[in-house]
Amino acid sequence: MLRIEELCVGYGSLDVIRGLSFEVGQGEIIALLGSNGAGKTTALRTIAGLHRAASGRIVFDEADITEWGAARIAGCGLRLVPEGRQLFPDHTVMENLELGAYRRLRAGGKQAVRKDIGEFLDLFPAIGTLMGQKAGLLSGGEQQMVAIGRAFIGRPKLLMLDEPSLGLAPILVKSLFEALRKLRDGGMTLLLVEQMAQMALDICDRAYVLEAGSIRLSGNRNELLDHPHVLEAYLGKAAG
Amino acid sequence: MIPPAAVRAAWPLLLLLLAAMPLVTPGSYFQFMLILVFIHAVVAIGLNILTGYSGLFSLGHAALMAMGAYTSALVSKGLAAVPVLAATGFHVWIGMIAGTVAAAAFGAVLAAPSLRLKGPYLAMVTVAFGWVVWKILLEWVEVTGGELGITAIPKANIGPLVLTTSYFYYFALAAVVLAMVFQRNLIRSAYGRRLLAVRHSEIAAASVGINVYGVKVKVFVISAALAGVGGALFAHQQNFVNPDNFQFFSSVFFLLAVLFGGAGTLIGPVIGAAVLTLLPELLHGFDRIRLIVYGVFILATLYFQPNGVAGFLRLKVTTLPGLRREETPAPAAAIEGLRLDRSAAPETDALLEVRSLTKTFGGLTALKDVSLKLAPGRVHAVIGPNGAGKTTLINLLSGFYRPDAGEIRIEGRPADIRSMHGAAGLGIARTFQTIKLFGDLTVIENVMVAFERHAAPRLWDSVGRTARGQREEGRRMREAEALIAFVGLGDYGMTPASALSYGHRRLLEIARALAVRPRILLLDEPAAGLVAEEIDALRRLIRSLCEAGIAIILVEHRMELVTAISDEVTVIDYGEIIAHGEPGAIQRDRRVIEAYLGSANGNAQD
Amino acid sequence: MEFFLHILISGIATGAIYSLIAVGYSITFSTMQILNFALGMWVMIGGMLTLTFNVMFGLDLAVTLLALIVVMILLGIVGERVSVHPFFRAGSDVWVMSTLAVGFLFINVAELIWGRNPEPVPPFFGDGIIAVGAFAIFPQQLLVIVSALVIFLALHLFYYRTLLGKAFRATAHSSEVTSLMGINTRLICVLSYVITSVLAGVAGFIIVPITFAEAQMGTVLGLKAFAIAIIAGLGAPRGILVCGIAYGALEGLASGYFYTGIRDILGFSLMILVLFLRPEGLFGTPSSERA
Repeated sequence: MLRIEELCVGYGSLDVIRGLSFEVGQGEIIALLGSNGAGKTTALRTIAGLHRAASGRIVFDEADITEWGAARIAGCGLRLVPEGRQLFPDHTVMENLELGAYRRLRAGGKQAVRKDIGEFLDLFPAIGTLMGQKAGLLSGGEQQMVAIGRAFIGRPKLLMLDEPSLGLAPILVKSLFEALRKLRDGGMTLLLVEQMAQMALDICDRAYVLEAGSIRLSGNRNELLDHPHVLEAYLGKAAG
Repeated sequence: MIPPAAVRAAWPLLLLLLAAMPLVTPGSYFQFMLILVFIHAVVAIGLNILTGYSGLFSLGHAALMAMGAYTSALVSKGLAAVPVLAATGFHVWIGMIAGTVAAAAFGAVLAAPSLRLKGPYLAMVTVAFGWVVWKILLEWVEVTGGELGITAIPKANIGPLVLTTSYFYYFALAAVVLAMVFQRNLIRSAYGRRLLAVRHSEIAAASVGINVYGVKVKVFVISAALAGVGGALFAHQQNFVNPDNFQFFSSVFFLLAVLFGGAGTLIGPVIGAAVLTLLPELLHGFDRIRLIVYGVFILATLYFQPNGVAGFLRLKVTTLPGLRREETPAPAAAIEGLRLDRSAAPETDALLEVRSLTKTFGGLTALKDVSLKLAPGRVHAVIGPNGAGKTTLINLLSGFYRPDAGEIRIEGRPADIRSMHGAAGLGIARTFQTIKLFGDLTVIENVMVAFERHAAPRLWDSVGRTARGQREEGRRMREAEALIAFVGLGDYGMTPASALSYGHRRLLEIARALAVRPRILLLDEPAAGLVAEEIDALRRLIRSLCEAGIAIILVEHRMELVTAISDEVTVIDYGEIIAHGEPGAIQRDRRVIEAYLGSANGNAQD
Repeated sequence: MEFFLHILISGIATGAIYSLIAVGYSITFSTMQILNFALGMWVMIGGMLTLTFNVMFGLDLAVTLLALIVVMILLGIVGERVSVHPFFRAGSDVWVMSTLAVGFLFINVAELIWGRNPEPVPPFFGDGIIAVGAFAIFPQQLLVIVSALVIFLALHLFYYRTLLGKAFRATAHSSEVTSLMGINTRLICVLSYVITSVLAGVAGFIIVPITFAEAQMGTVLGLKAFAIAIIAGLGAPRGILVCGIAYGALEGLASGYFYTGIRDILGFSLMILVLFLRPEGLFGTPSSERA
């Protein structure tokens, strides 16, 4: 569904992504692991069209989207939930969701969007009573739910999540990952960047380990859970 | 890029050429135009220090120049009545000094209210100021002569020698050279480093003890003084001034000169002033389409040469010219330096005491009735769900916010923390949840900028390159090197901070905070985004800081770090303390588990 | 009393114009964090076009207004393309200079086309006075006040009731995140510049009978409107309406009862004072910069 080929991205003279290649298949949950500065966030932002690739290709649904702008990419079903949630704080929760469905509402799909909002509220019932609240007043966990909902309401084929657990209390992280599992069960493809390697490995089908801007390791979750390098560097356990 | 050696060699040649000019064509119109170039260059240099290096826009410099010109004109005309002064020429010199002082004073008056603002606001206030001054020059006829202005302004003289065009030429040339030396010494020094830091991040600059507002006002006054010098020179060259000379358009002219020449380069403002002053002379019939030519010129410059003509000359701005590196001290020296500070302090069990601290934001209570104590060499962790008020606590302790109620006491005495730089002055240093480094500066410069509390740079030491200034700079460098070696960045001293990896940036922020020589260090999620091995290194670092006697408040989500190094833990939820105790006890606390850790917190202990 | 009412009303009318221009600064500033620094010159172009279409070509008012809006839209698109878009990514204050440069071009072109002498434009509804007791008002003044109120109401409805308006507000918060919603933020930026340009043009249209048409007619208007935008707070459109009208009334009274020359000096000093006491403006919310 999504194929990254030999991607290179840099800021000024600094290369952050060097020859990155990986694939995401229909219906999978893929995790991208790696220490900070490894280039995970940059990779997601480049795929979403927020950074320009220096070279390489990004192919989504058989279309080469490397040169596309962010709005066009989001419009064709590839959505990013950015790091730090980034809701529109002065808009209500409802308005945030409406903006997430901007293209569908413009195209006149009001009924379908309303139905999807209902479906979203089934997934996250806690949000139901907050629809009229300003998003900026919500707690971190609630904001993360709305941020996911805002992307979900756009009916993406593939949802990318950048550090969804960042800044959340451990108790909220658990319920967040349960929600992600439900999304997968609903048939959505997910690409997940996560610093909590244990959590990410628990939920994903396959994972890639990024180091210094390219893939160091890859495999399905059981292979990686037993890999000595992963154990040592990302799970903080002695190998063996 | 032209090799620096060629640039250096070109200077004496150019100066010689300029010095020979009057001998070849004495009293010519071209010579007159060159004087004008010099005068404009002085003003443009002043504006460059403000706009190019400090990032503050001004579109009111013509008005400041007018202050210099009118004051100098009026004072020297008045003093000409005193025979002694007129005979020796002092009437003009005193007038020029008065003009400079007047411009500087007006700069201060303008800067004080408007420098609380940024970017476009400041630009527009200066526009308004320029407009008000112009209007006053027109309306206050008794003093300024209204539309006609002031005529018969005395020429400068030294005793019987009257500075006619040829002599005045040298005088103006000397003024430019002096202004350039002033600019170079100011920028390439600890003082300039402070300007660059403020331009890059005001919050970070304040956190290491820099009085940001004060720095900005000072640099505006410096810039205004140079505009005043230019104005005074102008008055005595032209021998008459009127409001037309100082319209809004002249202010645009100076800003354009800086941008066109190359803002933030040493030579840029001079090139810009020269080209823009001489260009109109080269174009005939220019007057009818003057604004079109300038408009196109501005757009073309911005479009094709955004760094200005001197952009290609732009060498890396270094604030460390010619400092010899002495032997690098061992990392251990850094921690010794931090420790020494401590032995003088009285032994106390509550270095920091917070009593009933409360902070609300528009009805929303972020922190309510929070109290805690902190002894030297101890780590006090503050944990809690997101939005619980942990960062608000750090912001209160570091002076970013002021509490609505409650008290902060240091060593048993109430501490009145009014500002971030004030907090740094009391020995409270902090890091930021979202890293705030001075990205343009190198690693070592990032640390050197933070010695404000112990070795704040002085203007004269920087501009005059005094022995004391150099000595202090050498000391800052040695101490900074020791500190970066101590946090493990010894190999990266000359790397720009923006090129560091994420984990290294967190370490550099800690090194920079340590340069404040803090008694109390506030760490806001230092482990956020670090992987297991990096957290390990961080734990060891914090441990050794404790051993040196620094008291640490640690806001953190990563429980493995919290349990490993904290002596005590305070848990906050909805702005209130819900638990306090040793790490082990906290992890078993029922309320904490419900609100924060989750029923099975096995994951966090992995 | 009659004199008082008279200068108060004309002050309010002037103030309504200030607000109309001032809100233009606010629109582009909130979506793009840029200002059209030369907005006053765009007002002047609106006035000049009115002179051309209405007086020189003899078109009737509705057609004049329509033609003027079309031209302002085109100028807005070109202006954005030339003076904002190329410098947007640079993230600096370069647009201060670039928008001013376009303003210089406008003034000079206006001087070349229309000359330097002020040209009168007749009031749209004649010279008569609408009088109710001591309350008297020129139809042109009434038009100015009513149009300002209508335009502000329309803007408010647009921002809070339409999806596009909500997208404008979202872009104001973060254009990057807005683009992640699949919203074309580039288009929104151009649109906001165009709306500002049209508002300035319309402002020029309705005041030119009061001010006369000349190349410098917008310069001081633009500066004062900016002062008002700052006094009210750049992010507070409703505050801008209130402050603009209050400022106009105050200015009218000051020049009516005191000395005209002091008027502008007072206004700008007031701005500096407000900035000192409340940098975010009287109606603005303090920027919540986070540490």
